[in-house]
Amino acid sequence: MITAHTGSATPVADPGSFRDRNNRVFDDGEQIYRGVSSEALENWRQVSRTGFFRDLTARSKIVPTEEAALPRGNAAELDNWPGMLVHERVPFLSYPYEWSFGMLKDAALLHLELLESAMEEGWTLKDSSAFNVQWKGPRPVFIDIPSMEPYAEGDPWRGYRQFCMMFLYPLMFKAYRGIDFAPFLRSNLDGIDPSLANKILTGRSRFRKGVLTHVALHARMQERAAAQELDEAKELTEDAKGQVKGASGFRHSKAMVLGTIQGLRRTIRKMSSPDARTVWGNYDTDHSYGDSSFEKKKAFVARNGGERHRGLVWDIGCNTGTFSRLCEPFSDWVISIDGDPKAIERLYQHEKEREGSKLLPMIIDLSNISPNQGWRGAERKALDARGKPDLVLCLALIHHMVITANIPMSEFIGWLASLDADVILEFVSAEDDMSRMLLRNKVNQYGDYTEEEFERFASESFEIADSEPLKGGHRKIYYLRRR
Amino acid sequence: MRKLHVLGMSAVFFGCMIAPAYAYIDPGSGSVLTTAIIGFFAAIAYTCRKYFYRLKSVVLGRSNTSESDREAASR
Repeated sequence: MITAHTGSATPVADPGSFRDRNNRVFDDGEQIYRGVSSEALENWRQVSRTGFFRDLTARSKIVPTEEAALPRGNAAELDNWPGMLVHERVPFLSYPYEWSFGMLKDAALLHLELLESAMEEGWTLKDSSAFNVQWKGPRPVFIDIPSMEPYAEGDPWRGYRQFCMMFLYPLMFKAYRGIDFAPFLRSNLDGIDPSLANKILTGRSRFRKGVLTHVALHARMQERAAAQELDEAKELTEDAKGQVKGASGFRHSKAMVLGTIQGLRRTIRKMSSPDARTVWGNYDTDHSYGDSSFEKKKAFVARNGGERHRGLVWDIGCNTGTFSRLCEPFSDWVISIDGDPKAIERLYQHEKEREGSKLLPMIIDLSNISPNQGWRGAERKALDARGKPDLVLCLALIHHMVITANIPMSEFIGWLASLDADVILEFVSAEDDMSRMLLRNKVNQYGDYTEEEFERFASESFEIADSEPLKGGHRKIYYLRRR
Repeated sequence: MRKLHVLGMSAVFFGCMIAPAYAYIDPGSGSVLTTAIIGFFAAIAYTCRKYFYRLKSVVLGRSNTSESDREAASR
């Protein structure tokens, strides 16, 4: 549901939205606006009347969008745009290098479903960027409305290469070679190059579905074209005064494009991740709890977390998502973060089947969170720059941060304080079994890792509003109210 | 090299048109050639599937075709 413009704040241009000269994103803290060119505005007016657009919007697969009449004069830049669209805000931005295999797969299938439906009615998508898909809870939604344009007969599928680089190859890495794609996508925002994919998908994986065509052939064609272009460039010397040849195209029929898309849909649907197949069942880090301690912990979180309504909850170190789900009654949305791709994949598969789930699972290494990236570090935001949470759950995590990751406790508490939210934290003492396991092969240099020191550091930025011992005194759960 | 030349020429045979590329992402000429080759075979499969489902619904009648068949036929 899109409400009328109520924000009094001046919409600010998103520094990362500049690549498409036909539109620019503005944010006033409440709603997302998009200044559009006359061409983009006309495209919008037409596409919003099509059957596929209405159908997919009704099924919550396209972000709700309306034409807006923004009061002029709010910002000089806004006045330059002939048209203005307003989008419903997604709960929290996330990027492909934070998604599990299942999430990227469903995002890819959404993209192809949208493209196929659009092509049936004479429309297409200008590009195939994975950044055009965001999430509402565990459900993917397409957000880049201006990338929809009329399909010109004879045109090829222009987004094919980008689809391969951002969706297909990462999925193949995981499904066919068991290689996590996050490091590749985080380092290179354009995705995995066909030549690199060709070097990785060798041996037996060469004969997996889609590899010979979309990887091997694609890479070969790319290398051949690049060699030809190099030869051409060598002739364009000042003396020779060469002429640059125009791009030559082959007339593509709609059947060619649709056939390719349908083939890719089938290929991707059949892919599965080895992570989902591990026999862990309902393994929970809380398996080391007795029943009564576990119930105490749940009651503590429900009582203190639910003290008031929370807009956004972050559950860092969420594992199976038990405590994330506990926060649903008193929150709008929950971000379930864990550093283990297997745990997030299992959580995602569970949540996508659950009606009304508010959880967005994300794979984040807390000792190395997603940074600001792209041109001038402004195109993709750091994790803690996308919007502050109202409540943070930090359960059975601090011993991992201090002992395994070697982050000093004061540093970690300092970072938690920087989120400007109340925190429910479970302190795991060095005497706890799990801590002892982590200390097994390490020199114990963690002299200040005690309950007293924790309470001292925490009191600097928080008020310790409530606490309760757990697990026979080896653990203590705290409710920290931000000062 | 010769194989590629033959593949390339087959793609050219099926219609060649000089079309400037205005999209703001650059598909790369190698990728366009790839979509032509893959698309050629995919189009055959697509067309066959489309007529197969149409034939199926005509021969067997609508009551005997499943929802997904009808959907496929309408493509």
